Amino acid sequence: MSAPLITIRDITRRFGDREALRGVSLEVAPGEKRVIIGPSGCGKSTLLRCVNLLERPDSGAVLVDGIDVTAPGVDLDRHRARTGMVFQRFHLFPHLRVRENVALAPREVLRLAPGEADERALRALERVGMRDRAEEWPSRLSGGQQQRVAIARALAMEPKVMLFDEVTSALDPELVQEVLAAMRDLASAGMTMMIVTHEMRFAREVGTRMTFLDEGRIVEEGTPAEVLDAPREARTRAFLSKVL
Amino acid sequence: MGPRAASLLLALPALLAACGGGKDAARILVATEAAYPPFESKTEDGTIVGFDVDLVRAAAREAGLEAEFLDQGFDGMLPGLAQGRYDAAVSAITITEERAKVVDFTDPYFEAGQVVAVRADDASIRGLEDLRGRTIAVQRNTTGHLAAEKVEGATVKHFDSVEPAFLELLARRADAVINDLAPTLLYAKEHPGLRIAGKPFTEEKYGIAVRRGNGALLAKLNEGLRKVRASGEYDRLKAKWIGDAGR
Amino acid sequence: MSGETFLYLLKGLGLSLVLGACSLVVALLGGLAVALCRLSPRPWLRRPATAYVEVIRGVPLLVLILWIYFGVLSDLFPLHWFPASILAFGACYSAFIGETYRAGIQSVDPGQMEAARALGLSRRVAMRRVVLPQAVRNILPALGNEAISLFKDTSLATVIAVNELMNRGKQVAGRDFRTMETYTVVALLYLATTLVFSLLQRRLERRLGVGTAHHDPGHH
Repeated sequence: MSAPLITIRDITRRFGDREALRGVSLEVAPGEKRVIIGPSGCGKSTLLRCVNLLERPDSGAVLVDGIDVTAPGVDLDRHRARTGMVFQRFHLFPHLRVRENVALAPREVLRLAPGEADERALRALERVGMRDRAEEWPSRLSGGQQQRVAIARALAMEPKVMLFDEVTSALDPELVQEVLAAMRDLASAGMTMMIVTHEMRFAREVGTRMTFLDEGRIVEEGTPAEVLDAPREARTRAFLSKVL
Repeated sequence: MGPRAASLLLALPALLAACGGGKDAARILVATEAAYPPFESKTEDGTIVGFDVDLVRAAAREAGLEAEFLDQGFDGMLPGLAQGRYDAAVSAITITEERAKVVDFTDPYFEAGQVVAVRADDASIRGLEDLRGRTIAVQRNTTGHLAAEKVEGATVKHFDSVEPAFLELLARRADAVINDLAPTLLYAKEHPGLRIAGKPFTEEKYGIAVRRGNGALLAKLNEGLRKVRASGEYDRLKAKWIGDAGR
Repeated sequence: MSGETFLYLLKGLGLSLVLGACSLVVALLGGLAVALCRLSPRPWLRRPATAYVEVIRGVPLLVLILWIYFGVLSDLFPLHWFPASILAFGACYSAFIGETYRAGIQSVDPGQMEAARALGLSRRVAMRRVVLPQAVRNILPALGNEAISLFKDTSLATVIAVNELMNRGKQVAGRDFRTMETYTVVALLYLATTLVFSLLQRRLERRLGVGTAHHDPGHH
């Protein structure tokens, strides 16, 4: 059994007088596909954002690949270069073409030469099936296409873990599948993933472990089959009855 | 015709003339740029005082008029007079042919001349002839400005009023100021860093300006000036305001 | 108006343009610095920048020009009219343009900065390559306005005897006793210049797709 890639140790986070996370701990092994589910406002996004420090926990620790990234003096830019995140609203850079979007970070952060960065970008776009649209402007793509480009953009940095924050929630239903397909592809290639989602079928198919979060606390954990088919907690059952 | 009727008849032209002269028969509005001591300036509470002010007030009184003063920028003064914004203008205005084409002047009431002012520690300039190729600060559209423009190769900086021109000289950004003798002497008295180079190089006469064609007011003011001179009031005012700085 | 007089005024317009252009460059750079400082998480950058903007916005430009040129320093260190003018206009408009930049930067979706940071870009690089390009595109109309305002304000330099268009206009009007005619020509000269500028601005906006969702030129 290998050491966990991500260790989250008893983290809390509050916004004003609202407690978003009340002591959450979990571990993600390398290659694991951890799915996080829960009602809206339960803190799943906040949890994910504590991994790449877009949110800083008020207490507790987050360790990624052996490094405590919540300790003072950590180079956060470097850390974030190794964690890829895909957002619900894609956030592609509208003033750059698709290829430029994907090649930007390899150029600026990894300091690759323009030719190398472009090659890497095109390879990443290939993986999500968007290579032929490399010279397009993001505004001309559909939501599903933009999200796939966003995945490629994160992939191009060759991260150790990919974080997916409800990446299909803002998409029209007919565009959801193409994004899930890209994620499925990534999963089978062995990427460590933390996925916040409502897509239960996808979760069951791709996830290796599922965590149910409610009101800032982990209520239940197990394999997707366990949690979805045989939930132990009443709250889990209540939630699932509403979404399934 | 009886004596009463005759005197009424004689009074009529005077009345009519007075009505044509300005806003109110007994009152005249006089423009002046109250930034040119000792001829006109403002006290701390905003009252306009000076040689020009006292002189015109006295002359107007002798002519049966009351003079009210209005502070105006020098640049737009004569055009403003031509437009009828006020009845007269007195502001150490030199009588020139150009200006006489646009307004009417009373008889001259003061003799002045342009001088060159320089920094006290600048020995290189002894007079107008040494200003070739130098920088001269002036008040815009004064006779001093005209004189400066005639200097060969000189850079002329023209300001809205004369005070900044002197400041420019003191700040060593100009080599000389060309301005009338009396105000320059006054300024040099207050600023030991300045001196006058050479003697006045022009002979100029100041006049009170009235709107072209306003013969009635012109006549009244001239009459008033004559009376002020005759009574000795003129000398008294000159001694009070100009002292030994005039000619 | 004689041809000679018109030419005299035209030369003044030339100087007004030079003053305007140089001051604009200073203000565009200074404004960016002011905006970034105002948005900085570091208080020692943020607070002076905020104070600067408040002070400049509260002092009339005319007063600023006189203060810089004739103020306390002029006894010890008198400035030549050109640097004094550029300093005054540049300092004043750095504040206003800075606020315009700030509005532009804050109008960019915060998700953009987040996405950039999530990729590992430093705040500086994220600002330079992601946020600022979008911000500038958003505020181009406002920047154009500021530029025109600045150009017209160069007329204030007359109070320190800079021989630009306004100064020459006053001279001609007083000298020739033709106020109406002279100032009409002066106004038309300013107007002609700003119209040309507006035209160029509009063309630039169209090319960059300002006001549309699309950034690509030539697809309209």
